[in-house]
Amino acid sequence: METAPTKDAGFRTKRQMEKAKELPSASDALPKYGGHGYVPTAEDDEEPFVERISHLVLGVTDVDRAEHWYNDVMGMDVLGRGLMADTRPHSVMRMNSGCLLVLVEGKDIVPRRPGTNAVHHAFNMTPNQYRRLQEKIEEYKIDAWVDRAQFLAQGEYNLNFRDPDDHALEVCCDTPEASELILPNVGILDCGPASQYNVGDVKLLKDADVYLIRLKEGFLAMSRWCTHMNGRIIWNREHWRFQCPYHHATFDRRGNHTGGQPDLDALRLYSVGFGPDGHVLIDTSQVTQRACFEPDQCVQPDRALVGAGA
Amino acid sequence: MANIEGLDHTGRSVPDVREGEDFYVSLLGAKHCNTIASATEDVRAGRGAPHPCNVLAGYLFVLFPHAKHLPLPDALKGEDGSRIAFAVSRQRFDDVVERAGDIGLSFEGPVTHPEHGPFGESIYFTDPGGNYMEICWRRDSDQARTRLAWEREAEAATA
Repeated sequence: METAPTKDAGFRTKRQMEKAKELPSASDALPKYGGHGYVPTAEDDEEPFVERISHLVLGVTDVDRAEHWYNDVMGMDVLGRGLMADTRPHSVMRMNSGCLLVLVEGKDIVPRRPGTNAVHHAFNMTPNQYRRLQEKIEEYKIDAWVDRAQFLAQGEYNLNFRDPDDHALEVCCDTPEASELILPNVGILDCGPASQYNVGDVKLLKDADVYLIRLKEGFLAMSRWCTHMNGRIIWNREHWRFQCPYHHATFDRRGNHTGGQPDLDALRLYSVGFGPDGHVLIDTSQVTQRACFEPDQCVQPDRALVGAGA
Repeated sequence: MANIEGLDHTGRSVPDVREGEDFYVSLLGAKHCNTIASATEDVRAGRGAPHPCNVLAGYLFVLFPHAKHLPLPDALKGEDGSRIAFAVSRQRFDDVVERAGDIGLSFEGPVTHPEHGPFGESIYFTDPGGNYMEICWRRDSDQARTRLAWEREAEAATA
Protein backbone atom coordinates (compact mmCIF):
# COMPACT_ATOMS: atom_id res chain seq x y z
CA MET A 1 0.00 0.00 0.00
CA GLU A 2 1.58 3.26 -1.10
CA THR A 3 0.69 6.76 -0.08
CA ALA A 4 0.53 9.06 -3.09
CA PRO A 5 2.61 12.25 -3.04
CA THR A 6 0.56 15.09 -1.61
CA LYS A 7 -0.75 17.85 -3.83
CA ASP A 8 1.36 20.62 -2.30
CA ALA A 9 4.65 18.73 -2.69
CA GLY A 10 6.01 21.59 -4.77
CA PHE A 11 6.25 23.79 -1.69
CA ARG A 12 8.91 21.63 -0.10
CA THR A 13 12.56 22.47 -0.15
CA LYS A 14 15.36 20.00 -0.72
CA ARG A 15 16.38 20.51 2.90
CA GLN A 16 12.89 19.53 4.08
CA MET A 17 13.06 16.32 2.06
CA GLU A 18 16.63 15.42 3.03
CA LYS A 19 16.02 16.10 6.72
CA ALA A 20 13.23 13.51 6.68
CA LYS A 21 15.81 10.77 6.01
CA GLU A 22 17.98 11.50 9.06
CA LEU A 23 18.03 8.80 11.72
CA PRO A 24 18.48 9.29 15.47
CA SER A 25 20.94 7.12 17.37
CA ALA A 26 19.39 3.91 18.64
CA SER A 27 17.84 4.41 22.06
CA ASP A 28 14.73 3.52 24.04
CA ALA A 29 14.84 6.81 25.95
CA LEU A 30 11.36 8.18 26.57
CA PRO A 31 10.53 11.66 25.27
CA LYS A 32 11.68 14.43 27.56
CA TYR A 33 9.98 17.27 25.78
CA GLY A 34 6.43 17.91 24.63
CA GLY A 35 5.37 19.32 21.29
CA HIS A 36 8.04 21.41 19.54
CA GLY A 37 10.29 21.46 22.56
CA TYR A 38 7.66 22.52 25.08
CA VAL A 39 8.46 21.35 28.59
CA PRO A 40 5.21 20.81 30.46
CA THR A 41 5.19 21.32 34.20
CA ALA A 42 2.96 19.92 36.89
CA GLU A 43 -0.44 21.61 36.82
CA ASP A 44 -0.96 24.03 39.67
CA ASP A 45 -4.70 24.19 39.04
CA GLU A 46 -6.23 21.93 41.68
CA GLU A 47 -9.36 21.29 39.65
CA PRO A 48 -8.61 21.62 35.94
CA PHE A 49 -11.53 21.51 33.53
CA VAL A 50 -10.03 18.43 31.93
CA GLU A 51 -7.32 16.16 33.28
CA ARG A 52 -5.57 14.42 30.43
CA ILE A 53 -5.62 13.79 26.72
CA SER A 54 -7.71 10.71 26.03
CA HIS A 55 -7.98 10.01 22.34
CA LEU A 56 -8.04 11.26 18.80
CA VAL A 57 -10.87 10.38 16.41
CA LEU A 58 -10.13 10.29 12.70
CA GLY A 59 -12.62 9.75 9.90
CA VAL A 60 -11.46 7.16 7.36
CA THR A 61 -12.93 5.78 4.15
CA ASP A 62 -11.90 2.15 4.80
CA VAL A 63 -11.51 1.10 8.42
CA ASP A 64 -9.74 -2.16 7.52
CA ARG A 65 -7.12 -0.33 5.48
CA ALA A 66 -6.68 2.41 8.08
CA GLU A 67 -6.41 -0.07 10.97
CA HIS A 68 -3.73 -2.02 9.13
CA TRP A 69 -1.82 1.17 8.29
CA TYR A 70 -1.87 2.59 11.83
CA ASN A 71 -0.89 -0.79 13.21
CA ASP A 72 1.91 -1.57 10.79
CA VAL A 73 3.29 1.89 10.00
CA MET A 74 2.54 3.88 13.15
CA GLY A 75 3.06 0.96 15.51
CA MET A 76 -0.25 1.17 17.38
CA ASP A 77 -1.85 -1.84 19.06
CA VAL A 78 -5.34 -2.83 17.94
CA LEU A 79 -7.66 -2.73 20.95
CA GLY A 80 -10.80 -3.81 19.11
CA ARG A 81 -13.83 -2.93 17.03
CA GLY A 82 -17.19 -1.50 18.05
CA LEU A 83 -16.02 -0.21 21.43
CA MET A 84 -17.61 3.24 21.12
CA ALA A 85 -21.22 4.44 20.98
CA ASP A 86 -21.23 4.80 17.22
CA THR A 87 -23.09 2.54 14.83
CA ARG A 88 -20.56 3.06 12.04
CA PRO A 89 -17.65 0.63 11.72
CA HIS A 90 -14.79 1.81 13.91
CA SER A 91 -11.54 0.54 15.34
CA VAL A 92 -9.88 1.60 18.59
CA MET A 93 -6.08 1.56 18.73
CA ARG A 94 -3.80 2.04 21.70
CA MET A 95 -0.46 3.72 22.31
CA ASN A 96 1.94 3.09 25.19
CA SER A 97 0.86 6.19 27.12
CA GLY A 98 -2.74 4.95 27.18
CA CYS A 99 -3.77 7.47 24.53
CA LEU A 100 -6.17 5.95 22.01
CA LEU A 101 -6.84 6.49 18.33
CA VAL A 102 -10.37 5.83 17.04
CA LEU A 103 -10.79 5.28 13.31
CA VAL A 104 -14.40 5.78 12.22
CA GLU A 105 -15.48 4.73 8.73
CA GLY A 106 -17.50 7.22 6.72
CA LYS A 107 -18.20 8.18 3.12
CA ASP A 108 -17.46 11.88 3.07
CA ILE A 109 -14.21 12.28 4.93
CA VAL A 110 -12.71 15.75 5.32
CA PRO A 111 -9.16 15.02 6.44
CA ARG A 112 -8.05 18.63 6.44
CA ARG A 113 -10.49 21.49 6.49
CA PRO A 114 -10.75 23.29 3.15
CA GLY A 115 -8.81 26.52 3.09
CA THR A 116 -6.29 25.65 5.77
CA ASN A 117 -3.30 23.36 6.12
CA ALA A 118 -3.19 24.03 9.85
CA VAL A 119 -5.04 20.98 11.12
CA HIS A 120 -2.54 18.28 11.91
CA HIS A 121 -2.01 15.63 14.57
CA ALA A 122 1.35 14.92 16.17
CA PHE A 123 2.55 11.84 18.01
CA ASN A 124 5.70 11.19 19.98
CA MET A 125 8.10 8.28 19.69
CA THR A 126 11.30 7.05 21.28
CA PRO A 127 14.38 7.05 19.01
CA ASN A 128 14.02 3.32 18.31
CA GLN A 129 10.33 3.68 17.50
CA TYR A 130 11.24 6.57 15.18
CA ARG A 131 13.88 4.43 13.46
CA ARG A 132 11.28 1.70 12.94
CA LEU A 133 8.88 4.26 11.48
CA GLN A 134 11.58 5.37 9.03
CA GLU A 135 11.84 1.79 7.79
CA LYS A 136 8.09 1.64 7.28
CA ILE A 137 8.09 4.96 5.43
CA GLU A 138 10.69 3.51 3.10
CA GLU A 139 8.79 0.22 2.75
CA TYR A 140 5.46 1.93 2.02
CA LYS A 141 7.10 4.63 -0.12
CA ILE A 142 5.39 7.34 1.91
CA ASP A 143 6.01 10.94 0.89
CA ALA A 144 7.67 12.41 4.01
CA TRP A 145 9.27 15.76 4.76
CA VAL A 146 10.12 18.02 7.71
CA ASP A 147 8.19 21.27 7.99
CA ARG A 148 10.63 22.63 10.58
CA ALA A 149 13.79 21.37 8.89
CA GLN A 150 15.67 24.60 9.56
CA PHE A 151 14.52 24.86 13.15
CA LEU A 152 15.42 21.58 14.83
CA ALA A 153 17.81 21.54 17.77
CA GLN A 154 20.53 18.92 18.19
CA GLY A 155 18.89 15.56 18.90
CA GLU A 156 15.44 16.76 17.84
CA TYR A 157 13.68 14.89 15.04
CA ASN A 158 10.42 15.62 13.24
CA LEU A 159 8.58 13.98 10.37
CA ASN A 160 5.56 15.18 8.44
CA PHE A 161 3.49 12.95 6.21
CA ARG A 162 -0.10 11.97 5.42
CA ASP A 163 -2.05 8.83 6.17
CA PRO A 164 -3.92 6.96 3.38
CA ASP A 165 -6.96 9.24 3.94
CA ASP A 166 -4.81 12.39 3.67
CA HIS A 167 -4.89 13.28 7.36
CA ALA A 168 -1.85 15.44 8.12
CA LEU A 169 0.39 13.66 10.64
CA GLU A 170 3.59 14.61 12.43
CA VAL A 171 5.91 12.53 14.57
CA CYS A 172 8.16 14.15 17.19
CA CYS A 173 11.20 12.50 18.73
CA ASP A 174 13.81 13.89 21.06
CA THR A 175 16.95 11.92 21.80
CA PRO A 176 19.29 12.19 24.79
CA GLU A 177 21.55 14.41 22.62
CA ALA A 178 18.87 17.10 22.85
CA SER A 179 19.58 17.73 26.51
CA GLU A 180 23.09 16.45 27.24
CA LEU A 181 25.94 18.86 27.96
CA ILE A 182 27.98 19.68 24.87
CA LEU A 183 31.62 20.59 25.44
CA PRO A 184 33.62 22.11 22.59
CA ASN A 185 36.77 20.81 24.25
CA VAL A 186 39.13 22.81 22.09
CA GLY A 187 41.46 23.55 24.98
CA ILE A 188 42.36 27.11 25.96
CA LEU A 189 40.98 29.81 23.64
CA ASP A 190 43.10 32.95 23.27
CA CYS A 191 40.68 35.82 22.64
CA GLY A 192 43.27 38.58 22.31
CA PRO A 193 44.04 41.53 24.57
CA ALA A 194 41.47 42.27 27.26
CA SER A 195 41.99 45.95 26.54
CA GLN A 196 40.35 45.61 23.13
CA TYR A 197 36.97 44.82 24.68
CA ASN A 198 34.61 47.59 25.74
CA VAL A 199 31.83 47.21 28.28
CA GLY A 200 28.81 45.84 26.37
CA ASP A 201 30.82 43.93 23.77
CA VAL A 202 29.61 40.47 22.79
CA LYS A 203 31.94 38.31 20.70
CA LEU A 204 31.04 34.94 19.19
CA LEU A 205 33.82 32.35 19.06
CA LYS A 206 32.07 30.32 16.41
CA ASP A 207 34.32 27.27 16.25
CA ALA A 208 33.91 26.68 19.98
CA ASP A 209 30.26 27.80 20.29
CA VAL A 210 31.24 30.24 23.02
CA TYR A 211 30.20 33.86 23.58
CA LEU A 212 32.67 36.20 25.33
CA ILE A 213 30.88 39.11 26.98
CA ARG A 214 32.44 42.18 28.58
CA LEU A 215 30.23 43.56 31.35
CA LYS A 216 30.96 46.35 33.79
CA GLU A 217 31.54 43.62 36.40
CA GLY A 218 34.13 41.89 34.18
CA PHE A 219 34.26 39.12 31.57
CA LEU A 220 31.87 36.18 31.13
CA ALA A 221 32.36 33.27 28.74
CA MET A 222 29.00 31.62 28.05
CA SER A 223 28.09 28.46 26.20
CA ARG A 224 26.18 29.03 22.99
CA TRP A 225 23.99 26.00 23.67
CA CYS A 226 20.52 26.87 24.94
CA THR A 227 19.66 25.48 28.39
CA HIS A 228 16.21 24.43 27.16
CA MET A 229 17.21 22.07 24.36
CA ASN A 230 20.50 21.96 22.53
CA GLY A 231 19.94 24.71 19.98
CA ARG A 232 22.59 27.31 19.16
CA ILE A 233 21.49 30.70 20.45
CA ILE A 234 22.21 33.88 18.52
CA TRP A 235 23.05 37.38 19.79
CA ASN A 236 20.35 39.85 18.81
CA ARG A 237 22.30 43.10 18.99
CA GLU A 238 19.31 45.34 18.31
CA HIS A 239 17.42 43.92 21.29
CA TRP A 240 20.45 43.36 23.57
CA ARG A 241 19.55 39.77 24.15
CA PHE A 242 20.38 36.24 23.13
CA GLN A 243 17.64 34.24 21.53
CA CYS A 244 17.16 30.66 20.42
CA PRO A 245 15.72 30.50 16.91
CA TYR A 246 14.47 26.95 17.51
CA HIS A 247 12.11 27.29 20.49
CA HIS A 248 12.22 31.04 21.23
CA ALA A 249 13.98 31.10 24.60
CA THR A 250 15.64 34.46 25.29
CA PHE A 251 18.49 35.43 27.63
CA ASP A 252 20.01 38.76 28.64
CA ARG A 253 23.71 39.65 28.38
CA ARG A 254 24.41 38.12 31.77
CA GLY A 255 22.86 34.88 30.55
CA ASN A 256 19.71 35.12 32.66
CA HIS A 257 16.63 33.56 31.09
CA THR A 258 14.13 36.26 30.13
CA GLY A 259 11.31 34.53 28.23
CA GLY A 260 10.09 32.32 25.42
CA GLN A 261 10.08 29.13 27.50
CA PRO A 262 9.16 28.65 31.15
CA ASP A 263 11.73 28.49 33.95
CA LEU A 264 15.10 27.92 32.31
CA ASP A 265 18.52 28.04 33.92
CA ALA A 266 20.92 30.78 32.90
CA LEU A 267 23.36 30.10 30.05
CA ARG A 268 26.29 27.90 31.12
CA LEU A 269 29.74 29.30 31.84
CA TYR A 270 33.33 28.52 30.91
CA SER A 271 36.33 29.58 33.00
CA VAL A 272 37.88 32.91 32.04
CA GLY A 273 41.39 34.05 32.96
CA PHE A 274 44.16 36.22 31.64
CA GLY A 275 47.61 35.43 30.33
CA PRO A 276 50.81 37.28 31.28
CA ASP A 277 50.44 39.30 28.09
CA GLY A 278 46.98 40.52 29.12
CA HIS A 279 45.11 38.24 26.72
CA VAL A 280 41.67 36.86 27.64
CA LEU A 281 41.84 33.07 27.94
CA ILE A 282 38.84 30.70 28.01
CA ASP A 283 39.16 27.12 29.26
CA THR A 284 36.69 25.01 27.23
CA SER A 285 37.40 21.74 29.01
CA GLN A 286 34.75 22.26 31.69
CA VAL A 287 31.37 23.96 31.70
CA THR A 288 29.56 25.26 34.78
CA GLN A 289 25.79 25.14 35.12
CA ARG A 290 24.09 27.92 37.07
CA ALA A 291 20.56 28.97 37.94
CA CYS A 292 21.14 32.69 37.41
CA PHE A 293 23.81 35.38 37.14
CA GLU A 294 25.85 36.34 40.19
CA PRO A 295 28.38 39.21 40.02
CA ASP A 296 31.21 36.99 41.26
CA GLN A 297 30.86 34.87 38.11
CA CYS A 298 32.52 37.73 36.22
CA VAL A 299 36.29 37.85 36.00
CA GLN A 300 38.31 41.08 36.05
CA PRO A 301 41.49 41.39 33.97
CA ASP A 302 43.79 41.17 37.01
CA ARG A 303 42.88 37.56 37.73
CA ALA A 304 44.67 34.48 36.48
CA LEU A 305 42.76 31.64 34.81
CA VAL A 306 40.35 30.31 37.46
CA GLY A 307 37.05 28.42 37.47
CA ALA A 308 34.23 30.77 36.54
CA GLY A 309 31.85 29.15 38.97
CA ALA A 310 34.34 29.07 41.84
CA MET B 1 3.67 -2.97 23.78
CA ALA B 2 3.04 -0.56 20.95
CA ASN B 3 5.76 1.06 18.88
CA ILE B 4 4.54 4.55 19.58
CA GLU B 5 4.32 6.48 22.85
CA GLY B 6 1.33 8.77 22.49
CA LEU B 7 -0.32 11.92 21.23
CA ASP B 8 1.91 14.97 21.27
CA HIS B 9 0.11 18.05 19.95
CA THR B 10 -2.42 19.20 17.43
CA GLY B 11 -2.90 22.09 15.05
CA ARG B 12 -6.30 23.79 15.05
CA SER B 13 -7.63 26.42 12.68
CA VAL B 14 -9.81 29.27 13.98
CA PRO B 15 -11.06 32.47 12.31
CA ASP B 16 -9.58 34.68 15.04
CA VAL B 17 -6.62 33.36 17.01
CA ARG B 18 -7.26 35.75 19.92
CA GLU B 19 -10.84 34.56 20.20
CA GLY B 20 -9.63 30.98 19.86
CA GLU B 21 -7.01 31.45 22.55
CA ASP B 22 -9.58 33.05 24.84
CA PHE B 23 -11.78 29.97 24.45
CA TYR B 24 -9.00 27.58 25.40
CA VAL B 25 -7.49 29.73 28.16
CA SER B 26 -10.48 31.45 29.75
CA LEU B 27 -13.14 28.82 29.22
CA LEU B 28 -11.25 25.53 29.39
CA GLY B 29 -8.38 26.64 31.63
CA ALA B 30 -5.52 26.15 29.17
CA LYS B 31 -2.24 27.98 29.71
CA HIS B 32 -0.62 30.16 27.10
CA CYS B 33 2.72 28.59 26.17
CA ASN B 34 4.15 30.93 23.57
CA THR B 35 3.45 32.56 20.25
CA ILE B 36 5.47 31.10 17.43
CA ALA B 37 6.41 33.69 14.90
CA SER B 38 9.28 32.20 12.98
CA ALA B 39 9.51 28.50 13.64
CA THR B 40 8.59 27.07 10.30
CA GLU B 41 9.95 27.47 6.83
CA ASP B 42 6.37 28.11 5.72
CA VAL B 43 6.26 31.24 7.86
CA ARG B 44 9.61 32.41 6.52
CA ALA B 45 8.34 31.88 3.00
CA GLY B 46 5.19 33.89 3.67
CA ARG B 47 2.90 30.89 3.76
CA GLY B 48 2.05 31.10 7.42
CA ALA B 49 1.50 33.52 10.27
CA PRO B 50 2.43 33.87 13.95
CA HIS B 51 0.33 31.48 15.95
CA PRO B 52 -0.25 31.02 19.69
CA CYS B 53 0.31 27.73 21.49
CA ASN B 54 -1.80 26.77 24.49
CA VAL B 55 -1.40 23.83 26.81
CA LEU B 56 -4.50 22.06 28.07
CA ALA B 57 -4.03 19.10 30.41
CA GLY B 58 -0.44 18.74 29.21
CA TYR B 59 -1.49 18.67 25.55
CA LEU B 60 -0.36 21.39 23.19
CA PHE B 61 -2.86 23.20 20.96
CA VAL B 62 -1.32 25.26 18.19
CA LEU B 63 -3.83 27.74 16.79
CA PHE B 64 -3.62 29.01 13.25
CA PRO B 65 -5.82 31.64 11.61
CA HIS B 66 -8.15 30.50 8.85
CA ALA B 67 -6.78 31.30 5.43
CA LYS B 68 -10.33 32.08 4.33
CA HIS B 69 -13.83 32.00 5.74
CA LEU B 70 -14.91 28.54 6.82
CA PRO B 71 -18.53 27.95 7.80
CA LEU B 72 -19.15 26.45 11.24
CA PRO B 73 -20.38 22.85 11.22
CA ASP B 74 -24.07 22.07 11.78
CA ALA B 75 -23.41 19.46 14.47
CA LEU B 76 -21.32 19.51 17.64
CA LYS B 77 -20.19 15.93 17.18
CA GLY B 78 -18.32 14.91 14.07
CA GLU B 79 -16.31 12.00 12.78
CA ASP B 80 -15.94 13.04 9.18
CA GLY B 81 -12.70 14.83 9.96
CA SER B 82 -10.99 14.67 13.31
CA ARG B 83 -11.86 15.13 16.97
CA ILE B 84 -9.69 15.59 20.04
CA ALA B 85 -10.93 14.08 23.31
CA PHE B 86 -9.89 14.84 26.88
CA ALA B 87 -10.58 12.68 29.89
CA VAL B 88 -11.65 13.38 33.44
CA SER B 89 -12.26 10.92 36.24
CA ARG B 90 -15.63 9.22 36.51
CA GLN B 91 -16.18 11.08 39.79
CA ARG B 92 -15.65 14.47 38.13
CA PHE B 93 -17.50 13.87 34.88
CA ASP B 94 -20.94 14.97 36.16
CA ASP B 95 -19.38 18.11 37.66
CA VAL B 96 -17.70 18.93 34.36
CA VAL B 97 -20.98 18.50 32.48
CA GLU B 98 -22.67 20.85 34.94
CA ARG B 99 -19.78 23.30 34.74
CA ALA B 100 -19.90 23.23 30.94
CA GLY B 101 -23.53 24.33 31.15
CA ASP B 102 -22.70 27.02 33.70
CA ILE B 103 -20.07 28.62 31.48
CA GLY B 104 -22.34 28.60 28.46
CA LEU B 105 -20.62 25.87 26.49
CA SER B 106 -23.03 24.34 23.97
CA PHE B 107 -22.57 20.60 23.97
CA GLU B 108 -24.18 17.35 22.86
CA GLY B 109 -24.56 14.41 25.23
CA PRO B 110 -23.73 12.87 27.58
CA VAL B 111 -23.57 9.73 25.44
CA THR B 112 -23.01 6.37 27.14
CA HIS B 113 -20.55 3.99 25.46
CA PRO B 114 -20.66 0.16 25.47
CA GLU B 115 -19.53 -1.36 28.76
CA HIS B 116 -17.02 -3.66 27.02
CA GLY B 117 -15.08 -0.69 25.65
CA PRO B 118 -12.58 1.74 27.20
CA PHE B 119 -14.96 4.73 27.14
CA GLY B 120 -17.60 5.56 29.76
CA GLU B 121 -19.57 8.65 28.78
CA SER B 122 -18.82 11.60 26.51
CA ILE B 123 -19.98 15.09 25.74
CA TYR B 124 -19.20 16.80 22.43
CA PHE B 125 -18.68 20.43 21.52
CA THR B 126 -16.76 22.63 19.09
CA ASP B 127 -14.25 25.42 19.54
CA PRO B 128 -14.83 28.84 17.91
CA GLY B 129 -13.31 27.52 14.68
CA GLY B 130 -15.74 24.62 14.50
CA ASN B 131 -13.11 22.05 15.49
CA TYR B 132 -14.70 19.04 17.15
CA MET B 133 -13.83 18.28 20.76
CA GLU B 134 -14.95 15.76 23.35
CA ILE B 135 -14.70 15.22 27.09
CA CYS B 136 -15.13 11.71 28.44
CA TRP B 137 -14.37 9.46 31.34
CA ARG B 138 -12.54 6.24 30.67
CA ARG B 139 -13.39 2.81 32.05
CA ASP B 140 -9.72 1.88 31.67
CA SER B 141 -8.41 4.93 33.53
CA ASP B 142 -6.36 2.65 35.80
CA GLN B 143 -4.29 1.73 32.73
CA ALA B 144 -3.84 5.29 31.50
CA ARG B 145 -0.28 6.51 31.71
CA THR B 146 1.35 9.81 31.00
CA ARG B 147 3.52 10.58 28.01
CA LEU B 148 6.85 12.02 28.98
CA ALA B 149 9.83 10.68 30.88
CA TRP B 150 9.67 13.13 33.78
CA GLU B 151 5.92 12.58 34.21
CA ARG B 152 6.38 8.82 34.48
CA GLU B 153 9.22 9.26 36.95
CA ALA B 154 7.00 11.53 39.04
CA GLU B 155 4.17 8.98 38.89
CA ALA B 156 6.48 6.15 39.91
CA ALA B 157 7.80 8.19 42.84
CA THR B 158 4.31 8.82 44.19
CA ALA B 159 2.96 5.33 43.48
